[in-house]
Amino acid sequence: MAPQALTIGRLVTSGRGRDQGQHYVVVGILDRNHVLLSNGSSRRAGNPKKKNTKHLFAHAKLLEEVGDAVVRVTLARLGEGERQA
Amino acid sequence: MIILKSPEDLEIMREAGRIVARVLAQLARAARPGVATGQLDALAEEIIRSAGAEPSFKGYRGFPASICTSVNEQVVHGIPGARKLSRGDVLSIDVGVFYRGFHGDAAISLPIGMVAARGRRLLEVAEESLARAVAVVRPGGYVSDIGHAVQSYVESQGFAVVRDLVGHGIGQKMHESPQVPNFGTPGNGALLRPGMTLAIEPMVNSGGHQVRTLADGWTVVTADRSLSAHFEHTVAVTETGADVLTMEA
Repeated sequence: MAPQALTIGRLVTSGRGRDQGQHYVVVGILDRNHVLLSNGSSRRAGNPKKKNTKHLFAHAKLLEEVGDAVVRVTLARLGEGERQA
Repeated sequence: MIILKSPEDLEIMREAGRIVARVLAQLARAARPGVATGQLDALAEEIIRSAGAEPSFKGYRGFPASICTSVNEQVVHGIPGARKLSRGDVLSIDVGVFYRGFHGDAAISLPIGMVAARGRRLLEVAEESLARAVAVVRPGGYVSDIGHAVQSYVESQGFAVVRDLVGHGIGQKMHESPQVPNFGTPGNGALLRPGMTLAIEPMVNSGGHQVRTLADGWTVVTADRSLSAHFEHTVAVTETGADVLTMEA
C-alpha cells in the first residue's frame, strides 16, 4: 500500500532545527519541498512556520480540519502510541 | 525516525518477502478473464495464512480485504470484489504480509489476455522503472535518488509518475519513515544506510499524473481515467547496494 505524500492536515514532527521533536500539522503547501506548519498556539494558521519537508517526519494521522483549536487539542492529546498510529 | 534492521530482522523480513512473492506468483497464474477479483483475494488470504503469516492490509485503517486489486484506470488500493476480469484489462495486485513481527510488501501489474499496445508498453515501462529505482539504491546515496531514477526514465518514455502517493520505509510497521517519492531531484532526503528497508513502488500512468480517490475512500484512479500500472518491491540497503527481499527463494 502506498501512503499519501505530505498533504494538508498531515501530522508531522520536526526532525531538524531548533524546534526538533516538536509536532505540527501541515496547513499549507508552498512548493515541492516546503510546507507551512501550525501547532495551534505559538504558531497559528495565520502565522504558520515554513519548513523544508526534508526536515520533517510525516505521521499517518491526517486531520480533516486544520483550525487552530482543532490542531491545539489534537497535539495536546498526542500519546506516544497515538503518534505512531 | 528511520529504523535500521539487524541481520536477524532482515532474515525474518526476507521470509515475509518470500511469502509475498509466492502469493503474487500464484495470483498471476490465477488471474484470467472471468475470474472475480474477490476470488484472488480469497486465494491470497489462504496462501498467506497457510504460510503462518497474516495479511497486512486486512483491517488496516478499515481496509476490508487481504490484497488490493486495481484494474485499468485504478492506480492503487482497489478493493477486491465481484468484478470479473475481462480480456484486455490491466490488473495491479498489491500484497502485504505480517510474519513474525515484520511486514513484507510488493506489487505487480499484468495483462489479462491480450492488451492493446499502449497498455503493454505501460507495463514494460513501469516494471523497468522499478528495476532502475532498485539499481540506484546504495549506502551513501539518498532517498530522492530513487524517485529521480523513476521519474527521469518514466517521463523519457512518455508516461507520467503519480506524485500524491509514495513508497515508504517498512519493518515492524507497514509504513515507516522515510517517505519514498517517485519523483524529485537526486541527492535529497535521508541518507541511505545499510539496514534500512524500503518499499519502493512506482505508480505509472499512461495519461497525466493527477489522481482522485473514489467515494469508497480507498480506490485511487487516474484523474483522466487513463491506464495505470504499479510495481513494488521491499528492498534492504546492504553494504554494497540493495537486496530485494520480496523474491521467491
